[in-house]
Amino acid sequence: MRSVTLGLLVLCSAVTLGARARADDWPQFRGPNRDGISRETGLLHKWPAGGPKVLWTTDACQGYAAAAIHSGRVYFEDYDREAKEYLVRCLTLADGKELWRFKESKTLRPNHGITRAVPAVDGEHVFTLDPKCIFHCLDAKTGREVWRKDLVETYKTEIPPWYNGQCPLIEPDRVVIGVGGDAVLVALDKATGNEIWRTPNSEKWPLSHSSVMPATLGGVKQYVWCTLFGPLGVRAEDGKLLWHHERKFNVAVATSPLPIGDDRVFMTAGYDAGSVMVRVAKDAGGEFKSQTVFELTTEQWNSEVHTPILFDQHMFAVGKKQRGLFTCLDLDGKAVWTSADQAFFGLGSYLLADGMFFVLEGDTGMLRLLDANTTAYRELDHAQLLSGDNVWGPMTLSNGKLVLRDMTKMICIDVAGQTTSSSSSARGEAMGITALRAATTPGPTPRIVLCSAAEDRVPSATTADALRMGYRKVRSIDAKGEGPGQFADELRGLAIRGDELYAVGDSQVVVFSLEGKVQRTWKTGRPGTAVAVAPDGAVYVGEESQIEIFERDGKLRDTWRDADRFGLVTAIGFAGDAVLIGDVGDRCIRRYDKSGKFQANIGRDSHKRGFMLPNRHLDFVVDPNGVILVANPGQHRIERYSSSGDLLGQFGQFSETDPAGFPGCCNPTNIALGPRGEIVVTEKAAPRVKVYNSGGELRAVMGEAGFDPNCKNMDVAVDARGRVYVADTERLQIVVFEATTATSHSASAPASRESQP
Amino acid sequence: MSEQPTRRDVLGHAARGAALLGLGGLGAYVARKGGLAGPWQIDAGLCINTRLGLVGLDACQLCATSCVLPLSAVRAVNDHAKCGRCYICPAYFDVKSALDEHGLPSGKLCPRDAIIRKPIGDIDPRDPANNYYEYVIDETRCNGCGLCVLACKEPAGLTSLRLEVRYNLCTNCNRCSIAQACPKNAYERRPARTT
Repeated sequence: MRSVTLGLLVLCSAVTLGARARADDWPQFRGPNRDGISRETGLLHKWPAGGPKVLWTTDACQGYAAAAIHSGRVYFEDYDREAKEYLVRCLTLADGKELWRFKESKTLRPNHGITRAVPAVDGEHVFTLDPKCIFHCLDAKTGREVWRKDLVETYKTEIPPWYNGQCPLIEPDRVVIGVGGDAVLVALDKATGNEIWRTPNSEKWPLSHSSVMPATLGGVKQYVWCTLFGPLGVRAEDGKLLWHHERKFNVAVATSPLPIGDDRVFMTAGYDAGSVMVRVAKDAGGEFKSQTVFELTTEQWNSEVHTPILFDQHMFAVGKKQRGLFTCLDLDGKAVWTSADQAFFGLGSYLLADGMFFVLEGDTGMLRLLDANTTAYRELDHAQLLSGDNVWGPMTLSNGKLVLRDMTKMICIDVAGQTTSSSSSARGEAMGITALRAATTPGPTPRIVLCSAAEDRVPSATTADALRMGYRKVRSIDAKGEGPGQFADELRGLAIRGDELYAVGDSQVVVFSLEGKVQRTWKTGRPGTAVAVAPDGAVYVGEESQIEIFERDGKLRDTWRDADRFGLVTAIGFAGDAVLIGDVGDRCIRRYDKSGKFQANIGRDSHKRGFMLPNRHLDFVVDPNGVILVANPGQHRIERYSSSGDLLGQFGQFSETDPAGFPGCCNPTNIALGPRGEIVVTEKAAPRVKVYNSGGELRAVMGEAGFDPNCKNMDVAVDARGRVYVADTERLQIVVFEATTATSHSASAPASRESQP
Repeated sequence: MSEQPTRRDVLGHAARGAALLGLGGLGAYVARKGGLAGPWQIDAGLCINTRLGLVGLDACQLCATSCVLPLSAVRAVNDHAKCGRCYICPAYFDVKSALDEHGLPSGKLCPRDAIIRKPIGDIDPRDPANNYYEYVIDETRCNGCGLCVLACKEPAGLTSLRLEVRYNLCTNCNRCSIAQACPKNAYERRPARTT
């Protein structure tokens, strides 16, 4: 019986190991081999409905400091701004429970983030170089400090601008760091901190953010590093400086040298420094010399923050050009492929595991899963897991769990499918966002699914499918003219309430039946630029520097003027008791209460200090849950905000070729919501209307060549049956489209632009 | 010996004054109707120096070179609430210039040395590179060339610099020569905003 039990245990273990083919620690910067590659296998190549499960979330101070993972424990540096304490925190990988935290009083002011470095862990000790260049050795089990070394005192190190960014290199018996000041590099005994060797710094090279990398060059094990004065190599055995490749870098060197084999080292950096491939070899006298193999200018290719990953005799990295293209370079520095027209990664990080690149969009927090190959950009999946910009921290993978962070939190997600999926709403709560998630079924077209927390999965569709699902034009309401109910010069805004269509332009409001018959008209104080109907039936008209509020019959009820906050009003909406005003002047949405008292701005906290509106038009719509969807044309995307102004998510990207993307300088310009949550947008330049489902999948394109080509900022509204009404701003017509059967809608739900009765 | 003004003289002067006032009012009315109301302003969102995101591209300097004034009416403005207050500001330093012993660039970007740099707030003598630094435009020197605007980009810059027309300097030409030259139509007349 005992042997049977033992046999079952062995069998269970074998099955478990078979399912989870291989797991690794990630004990230091860039993983176990410092190459950005995890050797784990058995990871998901397609994520489950709603994207990877978020296992845990923890707050983190602003910064880019990533985790190291060893034996199921997560170690990372952090900062408590209230207590002014530098922290090293230890969490369990499984559930994010904090086991200990090391604290040290330290005043650190935000300087483009505070924390930057990744600890190194050997299971017994945790090594961290804090922002003020004090090197700590902590007991990995308790967090107790074992020894410390103040680099400023010991080596006269000058703390680099933006604090320390260097991540220690851990070796079996030592830890190696660059120090600047009196020494270039030092090797310290792990147990005591005693110096094993130092490399004299006769040139007084200052400390950089670059991290030391191990390499074998010319048959000699070396540690290679880079300062503002160029890459260098020292002998691992005794720290002797073997070579230095003189090359000037600018401002800061955040990347690390990348040994690529054949005695070559690739180095790239930002601030116009470009990239260089160096070959290091012994000369006739046995001295190491470096020579340039090739150089790349910034216009050709460079990376500013992250070090490329060497895979299959190619280098993969996010390049600086064109808002961050993920690029496959051959070893001669030629780009084999990029993510152009498909994705832009800013200064986001990446790692390689199980034949896939996990790549973060640095400006949005979107995580994309890419097939690792040397032939083409191929995306396997994506999910909006983090938010905000400056999502630059490296990622860490261990035991099927990916740990990543933005400027406010660190999260752990399951990328091995080891745990059952949670509901999107539960995950949204855990992440502090409403679910903005990846599509669930395979397809060649990049897709983003944008759902309310309560919404179930939405059907997926390729672009080709989407284009087959059509709308047809059913009528045009010709409103051009000098007569009653006609517009002579401008048609700017549309709104629908019940069976009435409200249009503004010139200095009047015209109310049509949905069939286009004029019901009534009235004058406005100034030319109307936006119109919306409140839940109580009041008609709000946006104008330059003011809002006029009318009764349903056109009687003026009130006029709001706010000289400081109304520039040009091009959109109005309602969320609960709040009235939302889109102000082009300050590129934001103003929130007022019903009495006209200002409450808050929405959209001003973005990196650009507002929406990007080169076309001087801002439009948004409020969904039935009070979530605000904003067309941000300069950023080529739709953004979602809570009524309190928190960015919940976004979708969309620039593309001149893919209909799912947004072309030109600034699109989409206008937005409306249909009764089933479909998102209807209009574009200028080549004027057209597009329909996305609630998840951001393109479902239909209409009106190409059907509008006057000079149309811009065409307002749009949707009725309860899903019919789309679009203002042709040149012909002064209202063009009506009706969904064909593939996307037809019942009349059961109200349209979002239409107020609730 | 002066003569006493006659009744006719007084009435004549009054009529001429009224006519001048009327002409002035008519001119203002025509100007407003003709879309000429408001001073010239730059839409920072359209300015090519603000929008260009790549280091290495040349700045558009037409604001400095196109104005009819000897020293352009355009000035760079630093939004201090947005500024990163960096030790090495890429808009202040010529980051490609030779480095000094502290790793600081030895050259300045502004050809007219129109940016003033000084440390602010609490100074940590142990860590001078992470003190805050304030960058102020010396408007007596700045000519609105936009080099600093182009350079103030992430990751070091936060796009805190922009160009503005100084109303007190601008002669408000009907056909602003900078507006004619601007490749992005970033110039327009708009009512002055107080915020």
